[in-house]
Amino acid sequence: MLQEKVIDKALKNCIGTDRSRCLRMRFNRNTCSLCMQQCSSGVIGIGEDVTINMDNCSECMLCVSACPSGCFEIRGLNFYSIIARLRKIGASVQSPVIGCSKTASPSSHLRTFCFGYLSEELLIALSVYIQNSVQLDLTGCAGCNGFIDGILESRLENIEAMTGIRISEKIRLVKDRAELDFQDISYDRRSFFRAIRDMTLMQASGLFGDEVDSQGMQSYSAKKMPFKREVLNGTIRILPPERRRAVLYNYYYKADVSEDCNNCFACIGICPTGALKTIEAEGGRELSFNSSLCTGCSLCSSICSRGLIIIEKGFSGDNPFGFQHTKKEHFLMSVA
Amino acid sequence: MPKYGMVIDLQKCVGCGACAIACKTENNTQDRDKGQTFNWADFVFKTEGKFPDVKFTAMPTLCNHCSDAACVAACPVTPKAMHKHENGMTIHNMERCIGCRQCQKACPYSSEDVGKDNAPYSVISFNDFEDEVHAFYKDGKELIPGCTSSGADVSKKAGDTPPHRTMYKHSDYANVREKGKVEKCMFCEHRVINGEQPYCVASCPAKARIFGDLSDPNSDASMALKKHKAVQLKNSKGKLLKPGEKGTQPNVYYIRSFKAASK
Repeated sequence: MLQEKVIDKALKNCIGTDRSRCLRMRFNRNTCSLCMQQCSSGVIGIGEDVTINMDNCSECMLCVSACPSGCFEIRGLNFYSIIARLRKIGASVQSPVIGCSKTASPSSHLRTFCFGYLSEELLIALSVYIQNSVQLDLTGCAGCNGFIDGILESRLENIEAMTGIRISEKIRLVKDRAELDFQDISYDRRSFFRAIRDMTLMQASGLFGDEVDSQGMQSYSAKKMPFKREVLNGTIRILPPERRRAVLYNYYYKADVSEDCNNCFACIGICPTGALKTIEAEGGRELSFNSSLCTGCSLCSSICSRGLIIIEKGFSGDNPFGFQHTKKEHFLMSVA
Repeated sequence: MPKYGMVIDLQKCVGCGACAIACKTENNTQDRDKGQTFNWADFVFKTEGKFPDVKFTAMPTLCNHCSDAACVAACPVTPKAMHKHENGMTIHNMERCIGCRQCQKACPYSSEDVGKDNAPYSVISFNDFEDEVHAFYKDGKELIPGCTSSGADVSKKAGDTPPHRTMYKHSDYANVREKGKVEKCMFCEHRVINGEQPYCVASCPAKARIFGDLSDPNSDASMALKKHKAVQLKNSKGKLLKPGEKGTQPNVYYIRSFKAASK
């Protein structure tokens, strides 16, 4: 029984897909193919469903970070628990080492999936939540998904250039084994047994943990935020104001709605994340927009028959949370 | 595989509205509100002429389950929420509907707001994103305080919302719809697959509605079409398709047009 369960779990695809999130499934005229462009082994298919041929998948997880609306989800990944463990280790070690589960390096404090899933959003969050710094062990990449180190490097450069967060000081990419600074955690007798207990529990919970429905299919009308944006929304709350403004400007969107909008609200229906909503206004309901929920997919502009809503990067201001009236001109005019 | 359609005999139809009421109870449709009718079975009533020379016609309307359905073509999701079944019915999958109302815009027999468009009926209705479905039966406000019950009280006593709810199951659609989704006549597919007639057909006291397989030349519907010259509706204003005009190839036919005239 247990054996079957373990084998079953091991064979299960580790990347779940939810077609109801895919921009092309929601809107047949959309041509987004970010996941397929990023996919290193060409195993993603988009037809009546979003499929991954797991037999040939290199599990680089680049689809997970590429998808703007969170169609792909790594089963068994708990980003916040990784951060919690890093913080625990960080209490006794200057710079914890994260390794990946594919290229088993003996000197890492914890292992996670291939780092391809670390989108810019998750990297920012990681740098903000840890105490000192963290080392990503990329020494095995050369013999595996060799492109990952370069991709991570450019992501860090991007973040630094756009937001001014000095992220390469916090997250160090280590490609050369000699540069890896691995400090073992020394245990006294009590903490040794505690560590064993924690590890055993963690492994057990991994096997029996409450499994998300393996199909993971949601109703198309359900509004759901991609995980990376959910994490970033939490992170910006604790960023210093200047950095926060820079992150908002570069990662958050503003909506420009024309006065001619006739309130058909097709855009509200097609939005996968629920960034658009009706709001009471003078003369009936009208469109309102919540930047913290917008991932910039622009499905709203493409379904609008007259192209009256435009989504652009460059959110200005401090507070992306909450729904705001979109027809500002209309309001000013009604006041005047 | 049958290809279902309906033939309505206007000389038998007296416009009593039994089909409309039957449909509302069978499919638990809510009350007309904000330009949405929620009447899957409805009427075009026409009064023409000048007194005393007036003519009155009643034309029952419903989804035409078109062979070339504009609503299906307009549905943006994959697989389509509004889709054709092999049996010819146009069926709406509630799970995949995102509430963009492209079907309502595309359907020649529908109107986004029957009030503004001055349309007598609309095949497709939309459940608002914010408003509760069956708001009346969820509202605790009494019509006459301390005297009458509220809608919510009635629902509670009856044990369901709406109180007269007909329970049925279908793989695509629910017996009460959700917020933010469209709805329309499904030809009662949940009944048809069990060998029953659509409820409007079963309830018509004059047997004016003939439902059947149009691909079977011996079905009642096909026989009626062979015997009488038939017309089809063109739009939500009650206009008819001209001879030779195909439109969206509706599968609801009207025979023996009839006018009550004062003579």
